[in-house]
Amino acid sequence: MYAVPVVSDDKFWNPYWETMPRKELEQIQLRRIRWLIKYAYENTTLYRRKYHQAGIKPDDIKTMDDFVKKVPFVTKDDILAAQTELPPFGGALACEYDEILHVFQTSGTTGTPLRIPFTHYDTIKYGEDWVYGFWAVGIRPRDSFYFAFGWGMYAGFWSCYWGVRRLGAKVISGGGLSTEDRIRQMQALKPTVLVATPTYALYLAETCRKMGLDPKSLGLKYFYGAGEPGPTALPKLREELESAFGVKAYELYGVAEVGAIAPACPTQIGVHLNESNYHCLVVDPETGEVVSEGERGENVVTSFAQLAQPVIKYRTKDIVEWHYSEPCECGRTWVLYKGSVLGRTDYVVKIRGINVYQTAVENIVRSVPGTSPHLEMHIRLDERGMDDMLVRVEADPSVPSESYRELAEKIAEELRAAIGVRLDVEVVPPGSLPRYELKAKKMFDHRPKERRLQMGV
Amino acid sequence: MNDIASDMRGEIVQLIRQARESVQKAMELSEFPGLKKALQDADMMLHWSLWHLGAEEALTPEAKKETAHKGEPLTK
Repeated sequence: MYAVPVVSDDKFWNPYWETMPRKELEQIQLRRIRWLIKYAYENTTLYRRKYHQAGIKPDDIKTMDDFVKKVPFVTKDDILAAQTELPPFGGALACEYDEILHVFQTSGTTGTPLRIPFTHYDTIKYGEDWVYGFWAVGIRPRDSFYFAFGWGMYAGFWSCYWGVRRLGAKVISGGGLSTEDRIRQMQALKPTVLVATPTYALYLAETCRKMGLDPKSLGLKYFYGAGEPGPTALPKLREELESAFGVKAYELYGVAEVGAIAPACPTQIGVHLNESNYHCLVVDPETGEVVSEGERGENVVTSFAQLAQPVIKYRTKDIVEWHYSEPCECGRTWVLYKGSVLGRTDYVVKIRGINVYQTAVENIVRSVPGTSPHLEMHIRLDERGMDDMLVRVEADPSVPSESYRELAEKIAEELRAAIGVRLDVEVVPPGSLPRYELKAKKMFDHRPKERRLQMGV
Repeated sequence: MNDIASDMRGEIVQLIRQARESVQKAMELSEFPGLKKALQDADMMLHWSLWHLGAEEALTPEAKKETAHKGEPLTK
């Protein structure tokens, strides 16, 4: 009988991959890229058409330079168009329909859902992405995971579940329960890892307190989140999560249609691209040119783990800052996305010549005493027709309402000092902004469609 | 080579490849779906083991995938 797997207590899940010298890594990746391009070309109408239009055939891609310069980008809209042409998956599907094991969907830009199929093998690889992060931060098969998650059609934490099974740890499902019942279940079963979106985890802590419980009494050791900027992207959020639950808080950066691409770095300074399963380029969102190491740009990912619906040079619209030439302090040689995801190309706002990223705004607002973790950012046009932003933030319950104006001024001043532009700030009473179980909606773009930055297209 | 010595890694790769051959033979001989599926899963995890060692270039365990072609032909 197999109980908890007997494993060594080394700091890497797979030291061979995680510490591989970059030259060797890039050679293996090039072989995989060439295989993948041939596979996608031979098995999907989407890629065959795209490469035909670009005037390339798989055998033309011999070097990484060929890949960077000759192979066209693929977008979510490309996949959506292929699916719409011949539903449900159309020319985006590379495997036989019967080989699909699991189907998710996510919202598309036009409101049409993007369907995301995976084969059985895809799900193994997708799940394994999580395990690299679990292992690196000290989570072991003896740990037990509480999923504060509703198990719907969205990918959400399904892949995390696959990862926990792969790790060999315990799964405790909080599906279909109210927040209060989830808390009672955690009291009874004493999980050691909480899996949730960061915003929902804070709501769990808030609800605990309303029930007269200290969230620390749940006995959790780790928070491991995904789905929205988390404890790596937002240090103040990390402090809030860690002090509320008495845990260490980490996050994974995933893209539903691509994979759980970047597990946590134990240093909490960023996340690492799992380069055994993915390759990335970081490009200028407007020109498509690769940016230098240490610069910010749009993350463009190729997956070796998604063979049902391949993604090759896929524009994620996520803004990241990449580092790779020196091994990380944690020992990995994999690309480090410092600060995880910094923003979305859809929501970059240029105010008086300065790019304003949502995570920068959120970090600053959260650092001002008297604010709660709940906020919204509204992008709009000012009276001159220029981009502008209104930040609405809930006050902490300890702040009297007559001090809201003063608090708003203080936040606006902190924002001006840190990012160089003045934003409008409105402080609202506790509990007035909505709470979410999955991704919290924090960005609202009120600009006319034609005025939004056409980046990453 | 990190962690596992190069010759040791080569030996492990060899053993896994032999195991795949045995599993694939057993799969051909298996006559009921429960056994066939269990062996398919075993083969997939052996392929995954090779992937863990960076030894497998084909991205799927099924060899047929490398030559399969479907969908409409391109017209020039």
